Amino acid sequence: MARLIPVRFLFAAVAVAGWLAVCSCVNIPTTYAPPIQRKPILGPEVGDIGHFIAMSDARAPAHIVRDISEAVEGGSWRWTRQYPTLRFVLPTTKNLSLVMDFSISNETFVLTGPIVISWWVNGRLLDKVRYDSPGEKHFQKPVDASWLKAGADTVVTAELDKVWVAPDGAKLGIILTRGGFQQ
Amino acid sequence: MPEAFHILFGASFTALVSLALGKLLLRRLRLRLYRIEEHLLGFVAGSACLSALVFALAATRLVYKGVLLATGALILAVAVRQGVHRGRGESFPPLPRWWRGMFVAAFAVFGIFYFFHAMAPEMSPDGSGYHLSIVARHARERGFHQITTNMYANLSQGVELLYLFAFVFGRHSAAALVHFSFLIVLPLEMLSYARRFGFTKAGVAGALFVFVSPVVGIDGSSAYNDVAAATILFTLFYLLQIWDQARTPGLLVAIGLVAGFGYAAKYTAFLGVPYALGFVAWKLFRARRPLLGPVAVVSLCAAAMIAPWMVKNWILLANPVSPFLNKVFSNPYVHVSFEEDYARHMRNYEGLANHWQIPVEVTVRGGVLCGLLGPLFLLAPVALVALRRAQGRSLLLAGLVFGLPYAANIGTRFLIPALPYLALAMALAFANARGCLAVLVVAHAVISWPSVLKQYCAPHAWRLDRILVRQAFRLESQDSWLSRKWPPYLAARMIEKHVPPGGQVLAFYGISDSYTTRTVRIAYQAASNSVLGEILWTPLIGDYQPRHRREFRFPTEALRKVRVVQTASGGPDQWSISEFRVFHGLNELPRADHWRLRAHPNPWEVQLAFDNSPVTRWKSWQTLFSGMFLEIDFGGTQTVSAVVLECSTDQYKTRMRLEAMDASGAWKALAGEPAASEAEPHLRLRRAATEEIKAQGVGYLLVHESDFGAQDMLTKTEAWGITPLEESYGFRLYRID
Repeated sequence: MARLIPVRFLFAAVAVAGWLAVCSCVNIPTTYAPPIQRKPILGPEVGDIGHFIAMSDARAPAHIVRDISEAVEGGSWRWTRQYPTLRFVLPTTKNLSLVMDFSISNETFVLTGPIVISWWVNGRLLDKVRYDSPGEKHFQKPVDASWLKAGADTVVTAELDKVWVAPDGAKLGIILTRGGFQQ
Repeated sequence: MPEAFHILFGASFTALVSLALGKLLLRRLRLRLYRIEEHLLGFVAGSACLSALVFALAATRLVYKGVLLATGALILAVAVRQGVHRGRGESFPPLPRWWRGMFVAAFAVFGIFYFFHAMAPEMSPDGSGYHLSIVARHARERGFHQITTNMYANLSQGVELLYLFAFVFGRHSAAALVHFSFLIVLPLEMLSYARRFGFTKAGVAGALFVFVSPVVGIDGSSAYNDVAAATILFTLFYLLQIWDQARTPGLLVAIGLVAGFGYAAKYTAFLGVPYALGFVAWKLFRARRPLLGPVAVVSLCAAAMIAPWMVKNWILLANPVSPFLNKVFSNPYVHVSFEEDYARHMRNYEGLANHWQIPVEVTVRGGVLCGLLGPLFLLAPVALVALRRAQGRSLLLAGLVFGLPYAANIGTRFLIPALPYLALAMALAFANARGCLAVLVVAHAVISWPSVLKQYCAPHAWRLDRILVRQAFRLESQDSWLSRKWPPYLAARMIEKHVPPGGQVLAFYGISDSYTTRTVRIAYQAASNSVLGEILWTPLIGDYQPRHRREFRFPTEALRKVRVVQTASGGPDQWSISEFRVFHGLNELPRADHWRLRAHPNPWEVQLAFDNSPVTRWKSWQTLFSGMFLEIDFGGTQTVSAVVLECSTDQYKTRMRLEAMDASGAWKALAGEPAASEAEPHLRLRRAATEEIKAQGVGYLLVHESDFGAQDMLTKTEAWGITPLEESYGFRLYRID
């Protein structure tokens, strides 16, 4: 055997293999410090938010920011409180109008009388409208493109000058059916 | 045409250097062989030597064109100087004229067909995928580097190192032509073996049975390695038979080297080593001759070829036989569950109703098991008739041994290593039936020709379907041909176009990543890729999300360590924890830098349970066993009154216990089963997932239209925070914003 494989070759091979094994073995730790802490983003999926929403839509909760009831009444509408606020994500900013379909209840109107609603878009006052009668209402007004940003949240607030306050403290404003932006 | 020249130069230079090395070795060992044997056996033994030499160059990162050219030229010069190009051995008696004519005709027709396919742009799934992507990476990086994102890089790559030698000069097609050279050598060796042992006609028939077999043809003319492995094993068998006849001591060195080269070429060919050792030991035992010396020579020579691969994997990946045996050699790079799933998948191909379909599938249909041997092999049981002859018994034993790995992977090509023995035994069985062998050869050749083959095989069977002369000589450019015919190539080029150098892409669908220089991380191909894949799927699969809250509350106490222990066992559940939180009263303790976290098993991913991310989780990546744990060492005493775990809902059998080490250093059980409640659903998980993936260094996603979640990503790009860059043949490339 020694004739076939020189002994010094064997020694050299073993030495090289040993050196490699000792010097180069991957050093994998098995205990770790806590890593960088992530900050989960709160709020609903952006992709669930569109430019228009019906209150009966399953995605409606994702659009509601404040003062709109969680419960859908009659399968199609929700009560608001004094500052109903919705958010939308717009695919474009050009030639858009804010559109809102809502009703003023006969029962609350008797108690509150005419109400004034200020329509705000991204913190800017779009319009202020006085509603002198109960019933179904439709609001529509073009919005300047410079007020809007495509792909980002657009916040719409309807500020009611008065609401009906129930004996149990519950506040009822208007009956919202659908709303958003249309071209 | 210059491209064709480079291809031919790369392949022929590699083959010539192999041949020269082999003939130098055989001459040094003073072996007496027939002239044709000197060439054939020399080529394979020399391939082993060249592979080992390239290993050394790759380990020292010297894979430069100049170094390879100089090394090869030096070897050729030495070979010429020593006159090895002049054969010394005798020639075999000439073949009978009719048989010679038949062999030459079939060998030439199919050989030319295979040659053009090998030289044409490489478009085999695995060849243009992992086989050559790893070779290309070695070429770019001048040798070995630690690759932890592709478990195929952990397989032994003895043949791929020959491809590397050729690739540096002629790229993909040169590598495929090197495999083609093994395809040419195999039938010639079979014939030569048969001539030496006196069954020439059966040898002609057996050699052609293998050579014209459709799966052998496409495999051997692609950058795979199955035919090379089969050639290496047949060389080993042949050398052992010669040794049995001649008992030349020098043969034992060649036997050991070639046996070890089998392992280096493909893990499944490791059986060559026990086969050779068993053969030598048994023959010497029967002859009442000393065993130890010859067995030691074979063992040492085999070890010389095997050890480099084991040591490499041990050094780089903590597992000498990676990607297998991960339970024994636990490591962060391949999950235990992946190995189990992979093994299960390889034993049960999708589309195969039961194992009784295998005979027809591997011989006639070839659609599910990826290729067919040809209907001729339905006659395989006839091979048992060869048991009447000593050579028949040797052949069938070798075929049985080398066919054993088929049980682990039932793809047709995994039968190739056993095929030469089966084919020769079948031919032996028919040898005495006048005219029968010739009829079988002609029939097999006719029904294996592409235009006939397509009449009966499955439409998508893996096979050659046309002669690619224009493509081979690049009269149609590689880009044009592959763009027309091979969508995974387009995906690779799309990545090359949009992803900057150094960029990484996460994908679920294998592509021809040898055609891009960017790192493509296929989700199943490494532990870290699987983690990324699950992160991406978490927003889409409710069961992956941390919706279960498990609270262990106990009297406030100062503790040094706390750990949650799994008490259940058994599959199929795996244990996972998304977040492990510690409370004092109602306040969560902030995770301090001096805390030390530990887990068993899979300690390497423990941080995923402490990162405050709802899309990551520590996971056992193996089925439940009692004693799994996650532990926090507070690095001192810490006042604690509750531990809260946020867990995914895809684990039903898990049972947990809380243990702690108190101030005195004693371990004790703090609480049994925790109080269960539902956690508040997390929102905006899609964005969290892509942000996490980006934080881990992957900036791009390659999504195929058939991938899970592809439609969601397409319609909710904003929610995911991704931008589509390009789409091609169902592949869509996104950038994570």
